[in-house]
Amino acid sequence: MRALASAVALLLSACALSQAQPDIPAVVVDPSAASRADLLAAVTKALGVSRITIADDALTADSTLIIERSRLLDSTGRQLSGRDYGKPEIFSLVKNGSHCVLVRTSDASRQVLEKTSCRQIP
Amino acid sequence: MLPRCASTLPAASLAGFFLLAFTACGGGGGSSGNPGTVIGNPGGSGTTTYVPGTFQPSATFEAKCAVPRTGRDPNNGNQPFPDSPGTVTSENNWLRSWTNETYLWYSEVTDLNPALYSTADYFDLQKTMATTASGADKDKFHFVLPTDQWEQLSQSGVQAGYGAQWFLIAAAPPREIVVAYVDPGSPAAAAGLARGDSVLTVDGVDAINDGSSAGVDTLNAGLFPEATGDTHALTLRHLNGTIFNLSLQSASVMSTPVQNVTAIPTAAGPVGYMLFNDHIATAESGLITAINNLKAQNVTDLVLDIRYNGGGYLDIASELAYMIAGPARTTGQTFDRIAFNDKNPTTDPVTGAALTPTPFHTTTQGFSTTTGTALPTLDLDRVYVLSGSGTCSASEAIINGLRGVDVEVILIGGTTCGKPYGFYPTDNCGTTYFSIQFGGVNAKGFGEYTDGFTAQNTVAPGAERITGCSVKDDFTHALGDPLEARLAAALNYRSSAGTCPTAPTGPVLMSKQEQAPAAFEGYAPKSPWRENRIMRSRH
Repeated sequence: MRALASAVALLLSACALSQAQPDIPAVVVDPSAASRADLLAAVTKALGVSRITIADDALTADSTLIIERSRLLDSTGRQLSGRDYGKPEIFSLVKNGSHCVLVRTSDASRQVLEKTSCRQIP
Repeated sequence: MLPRCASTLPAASLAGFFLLAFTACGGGGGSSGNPGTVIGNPGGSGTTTYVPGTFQPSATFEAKCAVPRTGRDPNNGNQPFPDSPGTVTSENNWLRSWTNETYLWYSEVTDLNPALYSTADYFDLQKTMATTASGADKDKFHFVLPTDQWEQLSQSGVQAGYGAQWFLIAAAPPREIVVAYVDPGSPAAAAGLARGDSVLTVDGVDAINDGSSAGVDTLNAGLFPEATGDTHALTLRHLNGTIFNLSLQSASVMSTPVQNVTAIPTAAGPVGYMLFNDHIATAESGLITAINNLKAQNVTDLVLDIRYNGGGYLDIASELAYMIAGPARTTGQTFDRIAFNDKNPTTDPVTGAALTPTPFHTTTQGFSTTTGTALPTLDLDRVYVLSGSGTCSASEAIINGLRGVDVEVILIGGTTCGKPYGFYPTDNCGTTYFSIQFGGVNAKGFGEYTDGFTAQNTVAPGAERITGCSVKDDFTHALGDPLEARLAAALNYRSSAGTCPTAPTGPVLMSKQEQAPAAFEGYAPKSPWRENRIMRSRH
């Protein structure tokens, strides 16, 4: 119950921040195991999937994170699906006040990365 | 359950299961139903009486599983699995009806009693058995994969590995494994690996001759690590004959899908070259940068190197085709139009949407750039394409799409893979099925290249012959080096009004004294970081 209350408070807080202050594109600084887990958990939650590979330096040089289906192969080494009509999922890292917020482009959903430090980029 | 015996696997089954067959043959499960036996009803277990030529809707049998998944699906927002108790026969009934509804060549599938086969065996038979003019299977792309593997995602271009693209000239003993290219900034690049380096040992295992299962496991684990932080010892031989040892640690490597972009000076003006390896999302921005770069250098021709490009997003292929051809030839034209079987002439049977062609995209599509930005163009009326057996799917669509608007495609290299087809990977009971559902055609309505595109002077039969030269792959020079055989042939073709080197008649091996890898077709497995059983213990 306490966790739920905290989550609601965090959500409201993020929501309030997003309305009160502008989003500024940002990158992760001082990435750590905790910040990487933070990011992975946020992406996993947003997409509702369990297995995602993200680079250790994700979002450290660019504020955009692109997620797509992993390339898989047949026995001849060719891609199983080499003619894709879909689109990747794109996330942006923004700084909103003192918070680092991951925004999913397709539905504008937002998640605060609590264990992540970030800085705005020009 | 998937079978564990080699004899039950399709020829194009996944390599992982192929290898497993050597070590775990003997399992598998055949069903024991009898023809015409009533063993349930569609509303219950999903089994029904088999009546040849009569097909109930696949929805009748959907998710009625011999081994239902329980709990919640972590790859679908933790929703409950849809499975309910069924039988092998109910799963086969679903395959039978689904194939009849959506398989491109459904009328060529022999209608078989679903009660008489294991599900894996039955799926293998749910395809056309016809062959092409070359004698190859008409349907070379019929697969299964555990759904939880198919559902895995990754950051665009990121995979565990070293950043070396291995090329398997021979995957079984005597193997030949060489480096095709190296991604910049990767552990392989840092270690000094380069195109043409050949692998001699992996963690003490003879990479050339070891045919044991344990040896193959070691080779796969060492060359295709599934996780980051794995350290393996490799012995390689440089092109100059130097043998060297490396300790490589796998990392999350970001691939660079567009590389080696350069303008090559010639007497007839600069010729652009770019190596385009993968239609992943990050390729969109890379291609735009490359075209802008070449445009700024006033190139008058382009050599597009897609010999290792197995495809990906078709929209990116369309963007690149537009950037090559420009608006004059492409305005209002179709890049690619897909067609399903004759039961679905106007609508997509999976999505229900009306069929609309893919145009030549004139603006960015938002893969790795802002959507709607005008694309740069080179406005060329011809393009040189360096090709090989790894040139597949969306890459072939570039060739076909450009030919559809009368851009001359001059093919230099090997025969492409021949995949003008696609599918909607579809889950049932935890297995995802890949069965061809549509084919693509260009603005002229052409899409019959099941045997691939090949250069006009290719000695081997079959394939769609187009202008160009048959030239073996050349691992003795870097990609983008004007001396590399395929690029050299393209430049020579351009300067000599269409002269080709003598076409090879088969695999061409260099002498042992040259201590260099062979120069003939093999394949370059891409990101085999999950399904990575690429090496084989025998043919």
